[in-house]
Amino acid sequence: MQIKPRLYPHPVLAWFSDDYQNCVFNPGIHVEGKKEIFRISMACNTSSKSLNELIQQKKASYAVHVECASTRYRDLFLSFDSIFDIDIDVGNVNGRVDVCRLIVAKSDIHNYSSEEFHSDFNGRSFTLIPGDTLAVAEDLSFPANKKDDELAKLPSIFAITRNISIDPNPIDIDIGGQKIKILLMPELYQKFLYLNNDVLMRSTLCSEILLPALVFTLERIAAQSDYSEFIDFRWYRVLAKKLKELNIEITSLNSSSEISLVLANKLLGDPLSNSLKDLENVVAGEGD
Amino acid sequence: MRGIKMDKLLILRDHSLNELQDRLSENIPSYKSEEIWAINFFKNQNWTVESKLLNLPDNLLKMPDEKNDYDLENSKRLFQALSTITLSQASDPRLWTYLTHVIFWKYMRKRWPIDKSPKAEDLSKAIGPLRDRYFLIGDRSRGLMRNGLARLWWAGHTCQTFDEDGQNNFDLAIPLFLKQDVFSSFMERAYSKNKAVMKALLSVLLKKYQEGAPFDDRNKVRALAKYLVMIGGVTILDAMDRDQLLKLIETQVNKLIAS
Repeated sequence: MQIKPRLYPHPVLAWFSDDYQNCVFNPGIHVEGKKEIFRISMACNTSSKSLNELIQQKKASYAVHVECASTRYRDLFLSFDSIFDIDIDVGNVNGRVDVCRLIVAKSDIHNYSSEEFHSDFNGRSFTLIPGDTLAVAEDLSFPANKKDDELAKLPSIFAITRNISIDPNPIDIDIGGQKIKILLMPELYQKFLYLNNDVLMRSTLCSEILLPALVFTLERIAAQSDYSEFIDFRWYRVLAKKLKELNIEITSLNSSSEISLVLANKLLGDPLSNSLKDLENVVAGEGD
Repeated sequence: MRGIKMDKLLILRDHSLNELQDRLSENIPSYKSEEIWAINFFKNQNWTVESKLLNLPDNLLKMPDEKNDYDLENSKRLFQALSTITLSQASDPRLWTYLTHVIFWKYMRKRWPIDKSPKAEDLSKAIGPLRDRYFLIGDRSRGLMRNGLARLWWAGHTCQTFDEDGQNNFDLAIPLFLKQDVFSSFMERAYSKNKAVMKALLSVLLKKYQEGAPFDDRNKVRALAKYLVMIGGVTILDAMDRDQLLKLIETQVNKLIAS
């Protein structure tokens, strides 16, 4: 659920309106990924005296709405306490998770009025029902990073596919999705599929296809100043984590002491060395 | 199958999923075949991978006939067979596309055949229904409600309740499967992701069904679905308690019936 700026039939303390004068609602939030849960730690408060009073009287409560579009997960967490934690099973979310922070009515509220209202509401009072929005903070989201593929035993951030465009290049790359997509022209794609069946060919294929793709990707990231276009992509989050294991911040790639080729080869587990060893074995085998 | 243990369910690899999607147009005639053509299509390729799930028997689902689609029965069967999967796993296109094209191919041919669709004369117009029913392409949430198998699992996930003696109960799915329009009008809305909201809604609809007056008129169903969206713009439906939701929905349903 994303709450876009809108007009309500009663005053709402919102970042996009002036229904309440000189009041703010901007709860603190911290997200931590643990082994089996994502923990959202909330520190809620509002400077509105009337809303604080409603919460103390248990007529209103803090509410955190969590939704993940890609897994259809959606839930609402309520609390009268300003500090509380929310635990979400890792298996429930994947990719971007939207969080909406609110204050909602918990019971019927009659004749609700406040000196904090905009002068347009002078002399007016409102009837509210449970669930009515009383305050809303700006939407935010966090990436539900996963180390491994949850369904298959595959950690890959790459997808190699056939390029179906007219007159395709032998190789092309598309980093605009959840995986780094490497597109091979149809004849080369067929050869790839055939060779991929042979274990001895895997490292060579990795050096030939994945390594240059990863070099390109790292160069593209290094050239960026704004990473927001990549943050929703799984490959980016996985690379960030893998680079961190090498003590490199993904946002500081352009100041790394190692060039993209060296880093890419490391990240892929040194397919170059493995490939040369495998090819040595192949040649030695042919010489028998 | 190259020594893979058959007690684990296979799923598509990313490249084989992309291949099926990219070559859908040229493969349309194959969707009329009774044979599980995908196996031959990927001959000599490493096109599947072992998943972390247990294998499913290909006779799990009841075959539709002229009188009945058996969606309710099959929703129960499929959900119970995959009751322990996570939401992440249950929204994975590699899983559902493999199931629609291989394990439950015969079921899919019966339930969602392209040669019986109104536009069968021009096979190119079958692309839309094929993308919807056999794949998960585009908007993930909506796609899961349209895929021929995923929709059954997600209906089971949404509607499952437990009797007093702890037994599974899927009665709430009865009004959902009355007509395709009822299913899509509600399950493709954002609020359908909240099980508590859907259970309240379906409880009201189940009651009407049990009273002999099922709420399945197309225009009224759509009006109710839109009403809930409108209410949700001000009042957070997820924050309403069950009794409040039931009263709200029942009042609106009665208004619509009377109109």
